[in-house]
Formats: sequence, structure tokens, C-alpha cells
Amino acid sequence: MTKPLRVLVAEDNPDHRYFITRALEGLEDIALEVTTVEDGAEALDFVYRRGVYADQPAPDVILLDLKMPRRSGLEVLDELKSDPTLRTIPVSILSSSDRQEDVLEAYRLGGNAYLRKRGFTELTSDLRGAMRFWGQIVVLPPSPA
Amino acid sequence: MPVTRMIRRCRGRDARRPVGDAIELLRQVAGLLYVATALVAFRWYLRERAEASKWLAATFATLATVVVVGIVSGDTRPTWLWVLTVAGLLAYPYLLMRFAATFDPFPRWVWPVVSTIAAGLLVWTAAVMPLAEDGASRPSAAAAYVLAVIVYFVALSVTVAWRLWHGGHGQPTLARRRMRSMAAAALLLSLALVAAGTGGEGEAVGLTVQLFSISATLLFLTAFATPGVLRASWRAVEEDELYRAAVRLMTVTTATEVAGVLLPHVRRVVGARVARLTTHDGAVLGLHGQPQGRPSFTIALSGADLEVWMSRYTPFFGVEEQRLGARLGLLADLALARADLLGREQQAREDVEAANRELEAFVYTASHDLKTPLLALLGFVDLLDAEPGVRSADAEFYLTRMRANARYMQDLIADLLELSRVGRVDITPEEVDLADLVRTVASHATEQHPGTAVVVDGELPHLWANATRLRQLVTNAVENAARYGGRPDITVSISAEPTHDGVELGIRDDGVGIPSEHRERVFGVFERLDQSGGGTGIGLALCRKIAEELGGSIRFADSDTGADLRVELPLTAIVAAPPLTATDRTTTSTTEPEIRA
Repeated sequence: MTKPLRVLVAEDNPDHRYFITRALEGLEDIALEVTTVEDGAEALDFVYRRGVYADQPAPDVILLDLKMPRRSGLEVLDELKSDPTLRTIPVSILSSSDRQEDVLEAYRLGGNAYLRKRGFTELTSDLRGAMRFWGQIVVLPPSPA
Repeated sequence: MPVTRMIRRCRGRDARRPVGDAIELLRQVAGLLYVATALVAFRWYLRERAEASKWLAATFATLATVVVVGIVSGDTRPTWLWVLTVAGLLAYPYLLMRFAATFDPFPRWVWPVVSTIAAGLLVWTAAVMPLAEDGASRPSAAAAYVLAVIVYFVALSVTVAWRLWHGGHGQPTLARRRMRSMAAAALLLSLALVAAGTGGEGEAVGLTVQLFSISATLLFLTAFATPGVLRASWRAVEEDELYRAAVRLMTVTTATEVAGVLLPHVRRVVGARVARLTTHDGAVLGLHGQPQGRPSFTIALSGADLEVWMSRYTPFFGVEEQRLGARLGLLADLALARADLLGREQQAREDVEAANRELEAFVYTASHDLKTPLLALLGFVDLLDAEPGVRSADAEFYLTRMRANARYMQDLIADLLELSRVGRVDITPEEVDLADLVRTVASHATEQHPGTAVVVDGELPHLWANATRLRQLVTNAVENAARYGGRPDITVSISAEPTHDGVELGIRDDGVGIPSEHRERVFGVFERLDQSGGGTGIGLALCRKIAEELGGSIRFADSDTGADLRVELPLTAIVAAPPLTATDRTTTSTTEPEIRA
């Protein structure tokens, strides 16, 4: 049995979190284990297994909003991609911003993909496509120790 | 006798040939020139009334007198007149030294020594002259006397000449050449005397003496009555310098550059030791040289002061150069005005660019934050559309979220409009009862956030302030504490402490507080540390904008418990809070009762 794809979703807006979670739940052909956090600081705690997340395994894929309280998405991305043990985890930005500066900065910091938030229907389609890509098409690196 | 021979030769009486007539004519011309020189010097003294011009007038009056007496009295003058004539001749270099000393003083011991030597020579003259008249022949004594007179005359004249020549160094061309003309004249006169005393009996010597004498007077006249043609010619270098300075000044763009271009030119044109350009409040824009003491003169420009330290010679020899300096100052004034205009233009351009950047950033942030609830709205619409048989509980949830997002957008737009109004809408100040304002704010806050307590810490004064803005500021600060304090039963206390130029409001809560690394960030538009409070993220940004519009500042102070917001405002407390009455004292403690809904 294929182990589920562990997905960390960092999204501060509760409604957007709801949509993302619903979109990912609808995938029947890929097993997903979805964890949601509400801001960038919490996302880092999860990845670094700090505090309440000490026993959590590292995620296989991270969906990262850009504008979040405490630590922004770009700050989280920069820190992850600067860490030699964590930089291999694919990070996909998920943002309503389509500003060229944001897109460029995300890729410059090492982001693996940039998804734009649209309506719920489009979002569902995009996320499912992304999960199929990471979960079935590409070969992921081994999980960090 | 060498003495009378010397004197007769100076008078040109010894030659008995036609050349002698020429020499006699030259002697007359020299006499006229000495008188003219004396008159010019005296007129200058009457005009200037300065120390230097006084000694100069005395010098040439003495010399002219000696020459005129010699011409008028001839060889038959009595012994006492001879002695006086020699006294005049001895006085001349002494007076010339006095003139030179007004610019560059000699050591104090010089004067007693020179005076003593002069007096000694005069006594010697008085002793020698009767013997010469009697025809007594004492060649060695006479030669010694002549030598002594010559040495005295030459030594003093050469000293003065050297000082004037050396003093011309660094002076503008006209002043330098005038000084050196005078130095050359003093030397020529010394040479004339040496020739007269040691040159023998020949016509050539007589002619040489007169030519030296005339040349000396002409050079003296050139030195302090320079003809216009020569002035213009000698000043050409400085005029050219002025032109080059004007060209360079029209290209500079800052006040410091003006100083950098102006001051070296001022020093060269005016012959200044030091030049300095300062603003009217004393800030130094530029300095050339090391200033000592007060400046010789100051030119007041519209944006600055040009201070110039001159050499001591300049007021006498370089008066016209000071006028050139004034012209240069006018050009500098134009350049300073231009630099100021350019500076303000540059600043305005930078302000506009900064404002544009700020606007661009604001528009981006605002549009992003408006997109967020809009996407949520659309998402729930999509869900309703996609699920025709949706359960009523889910439909109710979707509709609730849609309504909440729509309201949020509404609040966001209202807050944005309010934020944009701060600074644009003019609201005049009035007397504000701060305690009453806090009661109103507290009432509203507890309606919105039941469980929140707002208390007053200490006395709250009446303030002369913009009531609307002050209420907005306090409302948003309290609202922020209630939303993001971390618990529903938060207590917010409000205080007012006087400062040296106004009042400091304190809005403190006993909530979760704000980490130090976020205490500045939270004042940004749309910045929130968490979403749970439900606000738009504009509240603290609005507080800051209001505080700054009122001329104050806002910050979060260090605090071990809760958040401690401090707002410094330059507002006048116009009425102190009334003292507590005896009745009040029985029912209130050091803080007023907390206000609850």
C-alpha cells in the first residue's frame, strides 16, 4: 500500500483553509495526509518538529500562502530553502497575488511552483492536479531525517 | 670734504659743464616730484585718517622738505640748516620704517635702538659740519661719518624694502605690484645716496644720482597713486579669475559646491588669508585657510555670509580688490539661490517618488486584502452552485461565511476610506474632556466585546484637540486590545501623563502582549499577528496616522504583561481635572471605577 502523501498547508484565512482542505479531500486516487497551520511561524514549528509538533513526521509537500501573520510565506520559504536538510521538500506557493515581483521572488528563493488562487472550482482542479503531479508523476526526495 | 662733496653732488652743483645744467634740471624735476609725492601722501592721509597713511605723509613731507630746502638755500645755508637737512635725511628711513611697521610690527627693541643710532648720527653731524665748513681736513673721520650715515640709511631702507617685497607675496596682482614698486623705490633712493656718498666727483655719478632719485619718486607715486591704465592692466589677472569663478558658479548645484568653488577664487581675487562661507545660523558651508580672530569684513548674502580675513596690507594696497570680492559675493548669492531651488526641486521630486512608491505598495496591499474575502465569497457561491442537494446545515454555513466575508469587505472599504481621510479633512481643535471621551469609547467597546473592561488610571485632563481624531485614536487602540488581547475578559486601562511638550496617553491591557520583534510591524496597514480577532488590520495603522497628523508619535513600550501602547501628543492640557471632593474620596480609590456595559 502506497504511503499517503503528507501535505502541509500553511494558510491564515479560515475560509481559504476550508476550501483547500475540501479540495484535497475530494481526491480519491491519491492518499493524502493533510495538516493545516494558521501562520508562518507555526509552519516552521511543524517542519522543524518543535513544540506540539515534536512527534510529527516531515511533510512531503508544502502548500504555502504568501501573506500570513507573524512570518510571511516568503520568509518561511527563504528559511526552508536555506536549510540543507529541508531544502529538498517541494514547496508550492498558493496565493491570490499574480504580481510579477511576488512570482519572481518566490522562484528566486527556491520555490518549486506558484499556484494562483482562483474560484473554488478552479482551485480544486489546480490542487488536484498539483497533488497528482507530486504524488504520482514525479519522484520525491527521501524525507529529511 | 667728502661730506660737503656728497651734499653738493646731491644738489648737482659741482658740475660746471653743460651736463651740469642737465643735472641741475633733473634735480629740479626730482624736487617737484618729491613735493608732488608729499602732496599725494598728505591728501591720502586727509581722506583715510589711517595710521599707515599718517606715517607715509610724514615720510614724504620730510623728504620733500629736505629736497626743497636744498634747492632753495643752496650752498650758503648756515650750519644749523645743514644739520637740520641731515636730520631730515636721517628721519626719512625711520619714518618709512614706521609706515611699514603699521602692517607688520617690528620687535619692540628695534625702535629704541634705531632712535639711539639716529640721535647719535645727528650729534655726530653737528660735530662734523663746523669742521667741514672750516675746511679742516680729517679724511678718516669724515669717511667714517659718511659710511655710518650710508649704512644707517641703507640698512633701514633695505629692511623696509624687503618687508614690502615679501609682504606682496600672495597678494592680488595690483596690490603686489604696488607694494613691490614701493620696495624698489626705497632701494633706488638708497642707491642714490650710496652713489652720492661714494661715487666720486664725475658727471656720470651726478647724473646717476638724479636718475635714481627721479626713478624712486616715480615708483613711489606708482605705488600709492597708480595711474588708471596701469591699474586696469595689473588687475587683468583678477578680472579673469572673476570671470572663471562666475562660469564655475553657474554650474554648481549645492550650497557646499558653491563654497568649494567660491572660496579659493575669493582668496586669489581679494588676496585673503582665509575665506569662509556660513549659513545665517552659523553652519559652515566651506572654509579655506585657518581663521584667527574676527574676519576683516563680511558680505551678507541672501542665504549665507561670506567672511574674509585679509592681510594687514590689503586695506592700504588692495582696497579695490575688496570690491571685486563683493562682486564675487553677488555671483555666489545667485549660485546659492539656484542651488537652493535645485535642492528643493530635487526634494520635491523625491517626495513625489516616495509617495508614488507608498501609493503603489498601498494599492497592492489593499487589492490583495480585498481579493481575499472576495475569493471566499466566490468560493462559497461555487460550492452552492456545485452542490444542488446541499444539506441545509452546510448551506447555512456557506451563507454565514458569505455574509461574514461581504461584511468584512464592507468594513475594509470603510476603514480604508477613513485612513485616506486622515490629513485630508480639516477638523479644527476644541476643548475635549478626555475622561468623557474614554467613557464613550468604553461603552462602545464593551458592546462589541462583552467581557472587556475599560478602566481609567489616574486623572484624565481636558485637552485642546481635534475631538474626532482623538476619539478615533482611542477607539481603535481599545478595539485592538480587545480583539487581539488573547482572551475575552481583558482589562484595558487608559492613562494620561504630562510630558515636556504635551501629554502621553497610555493604553495598556493584560492580554497576551506583542512579541518585541513585531511591535513595529503591527503598525503596518493590514498587518495582523493572527486572524482570530477578525479585524481588518488597519486599526493601528490608523492610530499611527492620526498621531502623526496631530504632530505626535505612537509606539509599543516594553512590557512584561500584556501590550503597552504609548501615544505622545503635543496637546495642551487646558483645564486640570477637578480635585476630588470629600464625598468622592469615600467612594473612589486611586483609580476610577472600571466601566462595564
